[in-house]
Amino acid sequence: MLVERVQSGDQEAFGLLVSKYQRRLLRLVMRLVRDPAEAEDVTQEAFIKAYRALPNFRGESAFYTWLYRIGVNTAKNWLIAQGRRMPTVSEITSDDSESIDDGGLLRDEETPERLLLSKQIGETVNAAMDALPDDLRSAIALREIEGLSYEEIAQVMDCPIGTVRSRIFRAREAIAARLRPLLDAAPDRRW
Amino acid sequence: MKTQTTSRLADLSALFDGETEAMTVRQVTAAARQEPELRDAWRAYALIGEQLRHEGHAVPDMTADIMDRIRQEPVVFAPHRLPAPTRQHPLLALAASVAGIAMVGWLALSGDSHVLPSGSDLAAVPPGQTFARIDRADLPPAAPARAAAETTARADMSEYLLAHQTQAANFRLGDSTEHVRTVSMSARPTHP
Repeated sequence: MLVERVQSGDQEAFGLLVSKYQRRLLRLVMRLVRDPAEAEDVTQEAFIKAYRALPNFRGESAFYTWLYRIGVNTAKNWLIAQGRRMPTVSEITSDDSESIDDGGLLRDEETPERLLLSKQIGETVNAAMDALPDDLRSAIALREIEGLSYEEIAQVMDCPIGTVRSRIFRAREAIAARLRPLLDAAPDRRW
Repeated sequence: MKTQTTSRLADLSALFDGETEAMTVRQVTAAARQEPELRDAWRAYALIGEQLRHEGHAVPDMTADIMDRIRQEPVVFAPHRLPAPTRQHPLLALAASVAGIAMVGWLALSGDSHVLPSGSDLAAVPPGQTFARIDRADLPPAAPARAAAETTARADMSEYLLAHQTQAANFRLGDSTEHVRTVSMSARPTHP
């Protein structure tokens, strides 16, 4: 839907896509490029390429799957231009490469402040989840962790889709309310 | 005001999950352009999802940098993809041509059925077959008195014209006089 907005000429809608997928893409690129500063450059380049190629995106795959391929190709070309090789072929081609824990790579480059912020964010989200009523916690967990659609969640929870929509929203807002002081206090709003 | 913001945030949450209508997408993206609160909420929603999937790390937010570069790019307009033209079998065109010729030929050969049959044709037709379809019951009922009066007046006028045709300066019935008279006389209704 957002993709269609961008395709129809709404340039700013692309910002929401960037905001949503940037961390996932950066994590992927970081696995390939290894250097955090270069990974940021490659990730930005991948997003620019994605924007330029968006008219050719037909929606036959999920947007992130398509973006993932662009990210891998951009990283590959970057490494070739640098005269370097990809870490391993399997890491590039495997669709499961994201599932491998790459936290260490990121953490190695994080400042103590960022490490503290990461820890605080994790604890805050977990605490907020524990404080949620069961129906809200189940709804957002089914969505964010299990990846179910609203219709599937409605079937699982035996309630209307509108109720699912409301529960997920209320859960997000309850967690976000606890997160905001942390995010607002972040030095460069980079988290 | 707060209700409106809450409603927008609820729409934003649904949009984040790709579970909203096209009309709402347009409204929410337009609102997000104007309201930093919505953009912050969007970022928070993304962060919450990543934390719940244990993907969250303190990585930089590159949205502003990327969008600065995107704004330098030409606006993307994706044309609606037209369905690929299906390649028709070549025999279909031939069959269509033959069918067209056959239709024209059939119309040409059977076209004279609209012309009134000649006398010999009528003689060849068994009585009752050709005119069996015409039934007085199918005809609309006429207004008897008025129709009879008009018919009488027309017949009287015909009588008058026929009787004075030789006095008309520019009116010649010529050889058809007899035929016209015959028709006129035959169409004349019988008076009670």
